[in-house]
Amino acid sequence: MRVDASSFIPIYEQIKKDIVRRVATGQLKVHDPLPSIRDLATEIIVNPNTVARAYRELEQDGLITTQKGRGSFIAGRARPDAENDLNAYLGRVMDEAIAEARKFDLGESAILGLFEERLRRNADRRKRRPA
Amino acid sequence: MFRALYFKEWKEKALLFFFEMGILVLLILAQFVFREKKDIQEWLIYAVLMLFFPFAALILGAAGFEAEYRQGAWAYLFSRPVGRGTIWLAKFAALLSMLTALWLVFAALWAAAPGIREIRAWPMLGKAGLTLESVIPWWSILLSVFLLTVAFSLSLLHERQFNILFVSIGAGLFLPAAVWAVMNSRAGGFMAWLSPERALPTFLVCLVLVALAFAAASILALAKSDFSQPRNLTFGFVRWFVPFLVLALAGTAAWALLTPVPGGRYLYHFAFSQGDAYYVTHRGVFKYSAAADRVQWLAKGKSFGFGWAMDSSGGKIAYTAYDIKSKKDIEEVLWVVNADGSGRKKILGRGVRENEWPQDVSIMNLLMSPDGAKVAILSSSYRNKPKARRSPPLWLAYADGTRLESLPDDPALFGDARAYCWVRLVAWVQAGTSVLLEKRTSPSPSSFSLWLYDLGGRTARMLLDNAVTASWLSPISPDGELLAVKYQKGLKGPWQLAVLDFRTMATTDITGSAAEPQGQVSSQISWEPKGTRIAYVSRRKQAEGPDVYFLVVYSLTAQKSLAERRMTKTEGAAQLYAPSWTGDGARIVVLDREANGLRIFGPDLNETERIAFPPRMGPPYGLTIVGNHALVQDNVTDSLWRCDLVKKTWKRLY
Amino acid sequence: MSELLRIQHLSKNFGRKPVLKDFDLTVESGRVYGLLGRNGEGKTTLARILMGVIPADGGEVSYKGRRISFGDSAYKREFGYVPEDPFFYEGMTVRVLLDFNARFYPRWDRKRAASDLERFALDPKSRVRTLSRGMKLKLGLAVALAAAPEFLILDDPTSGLDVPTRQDFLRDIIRELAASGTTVLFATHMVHELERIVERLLVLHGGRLIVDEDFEAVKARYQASLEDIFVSLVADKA
Repeated sequence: MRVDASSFIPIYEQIKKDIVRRVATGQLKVHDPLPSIRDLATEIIVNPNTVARAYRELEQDGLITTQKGRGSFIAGRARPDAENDLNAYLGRVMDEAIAEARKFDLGESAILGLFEERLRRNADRRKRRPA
Repeated sequence: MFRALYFKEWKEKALLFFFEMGILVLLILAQFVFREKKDIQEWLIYAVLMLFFPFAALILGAAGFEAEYRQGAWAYLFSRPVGRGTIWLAKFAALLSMLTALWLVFAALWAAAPGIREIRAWPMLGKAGLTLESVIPWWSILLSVFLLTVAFSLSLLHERQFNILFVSIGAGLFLPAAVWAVMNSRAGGFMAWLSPERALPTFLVCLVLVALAFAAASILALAKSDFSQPRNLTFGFVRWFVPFLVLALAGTAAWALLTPVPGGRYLYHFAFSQGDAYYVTHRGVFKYSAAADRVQWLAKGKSFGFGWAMDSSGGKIAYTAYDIKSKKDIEEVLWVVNADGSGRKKILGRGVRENEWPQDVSIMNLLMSPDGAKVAILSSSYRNKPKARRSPPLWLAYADGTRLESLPDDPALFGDARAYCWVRLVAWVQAGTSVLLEKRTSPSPSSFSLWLYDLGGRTARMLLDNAVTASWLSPISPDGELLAVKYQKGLKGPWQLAVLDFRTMATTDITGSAAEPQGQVSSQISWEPKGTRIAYVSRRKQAEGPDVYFLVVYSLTAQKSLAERRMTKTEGAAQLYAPSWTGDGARIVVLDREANGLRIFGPDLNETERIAFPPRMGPPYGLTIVGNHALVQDNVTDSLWRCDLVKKTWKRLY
Repeated sequence: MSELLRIQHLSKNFGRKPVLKDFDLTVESGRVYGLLGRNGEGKTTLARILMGVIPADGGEVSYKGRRISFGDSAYKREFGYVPEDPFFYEGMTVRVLLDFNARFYPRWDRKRAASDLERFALDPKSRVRTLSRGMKLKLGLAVALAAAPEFLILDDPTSGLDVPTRQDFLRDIIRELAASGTTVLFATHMVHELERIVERLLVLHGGRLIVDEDFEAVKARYQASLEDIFVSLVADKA
């Protein structure tokens, strides 16, 4: 995980997003343990309180559960909704991109063209690398 | 915490400490190398005490805060949870321990080599007026601690050790030197050479107090200063130091003035029957008036100020004092003052009749005439051999200061070729027309003679035979015309008491006559105020056993004893009785040490009462009655007490 | 969150120049405070006043409800201090320094100090003066943390250090925070470190705090990087 301290997005939000993404892409499965607050904070060099806040909010959202003395784990309910969450997640990502583009007054076709171009570039890059 | 700081100091200064220890060991080894050469040994000890230890102390002290300055650790030290006073004290304790270690090594030498202690010739110190303690050089130890404290206190202020050392030498050596100079000056009462037994303790007290001033200023500067402001530290130190230094100097002066010094007090006391007693102490001339029960300070003086010649009569007092301007300029001065303290007048000395009084001759003895108009003076010139004597010894000075007369010498009286000759003015007699002198000579045959010098005819006449040996003379009687003498004819003859009447020039033997066959008068007699009776203590031999003592009242008119009373058995107590008549002639007071109090008798020697001595009074010595009050001297503590015989209360006058 | 430290109307002048003027701050326990300020504007002065190295000219400081004044020393047992200039006795070895320092703190943890030394690769026998700046910093941190302080003051410790060293340093701080919830006051003029760990942002300008807010709120309001925020706040008003 990597966070961008200078971004306008608060660090705890970035952490939450990252965890949600991993769950949505299947990197983290139900009942998988999350790194301890200390370990994560040390690894990404952020205030442990910030990590703690991210975990707290995820717990409130129901995405993770914390057991005292044993750490935090991905909550059980995540699995059945994996597909939906993925769509929801990707949808949010794309909404953000669209909103950004709109700031520059780009029209729908322009946005679409831009997206196709990026997709093609991505495919080229993937072809050059072994899978 | 304290220990951590303390041991850190040792680690930091270890190199310096061992360096100094090395030098000391070398100096000590040199002592043994030069075992045979006493003068080199002397010099080495001298070098150790006067050079090594002071500089060792200064260097140690100046290194005090060096690590903090050099290694930049102030902020570190100050941000630790430790008080700044603790920091200061821990450093000081470490430095003091190092100095103590050096002294212990020296002490080991002192103990191991007895020959060292025999070195007594300390020429420089002798010249400085210092008398050394016999065994341990406390003054050197104290001086080194003083210098250590000064240097350490100053080392707070600057990072360069050398600068600190320089300033410390200045302050640390200049201040004691200044104090010593003051003690040698008029302002310091010439303490150093007049009372050196007081000077050294005063000097050491001064060192201690000044060292405390430095230390206190340094601690406060460390604790209160803002190290971030430039020069705040130095200003802080000075600001604290100045008042503390003033306090230290005031404390030294207080010590010098207030602490008693053995021998520094003295009491020279005599009494007069007009109800007043006059006495001299190291503070001046005092008058005690029995009627008012009050002490009046007639003349202030410094402890060195007073000579031993004093007399009072006719409402006036004459006394001598020394006027000291410097060590080389001391003059004896003769003063006359009224009994109430007014009208003090210098009649001889320092600007008054100086050219009339001979050089290098002092006033041995003086007597005031009964009317208080003239003073008879005996100078010390009679002690010079006849050839060397320049001036005649007898003088007459007028109390109003108008005249000073030299009385012609009488070779019969003063021209004695024998080795030792002592003359004293005894009394003005014959209505003030003559003075009585006593003269004693030695070696054997030693002699005593009584002379009368006629002031009109300016000649002397011997009254009592030269072959008589006298023990003492009584005081002159209240009417001024009778004198009692205790004498023996030849060296083996019995002791007798005779009364000399100056009106008739007749001598009457009291004891050794039919009236008092067995005994001899053992104490000074006391005249009854009307002069017709005397009281004394008589010592009588027994057939077997020790002598016994009797209190006797003797009538001069009836020429027999009127009353007798056997007193205590010990001779020592009896010697002190000093029986004295009260002013109204109604009672006789006796000082009885065995009974621990005053015993009061009627003229018939029936004991009427006793007054115990106060518990704080030391061993009593002399008794004098003034009016209704008894004055008791204590020669051991040099104090004077008065007892109100009516109220039976005691008060300490001096 | 309880109040750990309260500073009221603190003022300090150097000569006639005021450095701190009517400075107020309340520090809550367990949080990380980032103090931004330009060079020479009073960050170090504040740290020194809090550590009792220099006295304030006016104002009051209370720690855990009790007033602390210039001569007090007991409260310093709970304070840790890592200043900008390494400030130890240069002649001491690391071991001697730690042993010496240990005697002042009742909560000193020997094992922790020893393990920190190992982790930082500090040779106990080396003399302080032979250590590089980065090593001295780590030593300073080890010294401060082994005493288990309640309140840790870092006065611009990372200036002049390379990025990896700074990152290591931050990591160590974070480890400490995660382990014991120490309250931290991190004063600096380098903003990169602050962005990652600070919870409450303080900006010191003109002798007092012109910003005393939760960091996230400031960022959200300004919608700019911390660096830009800081520059705009402390720019001299033309």
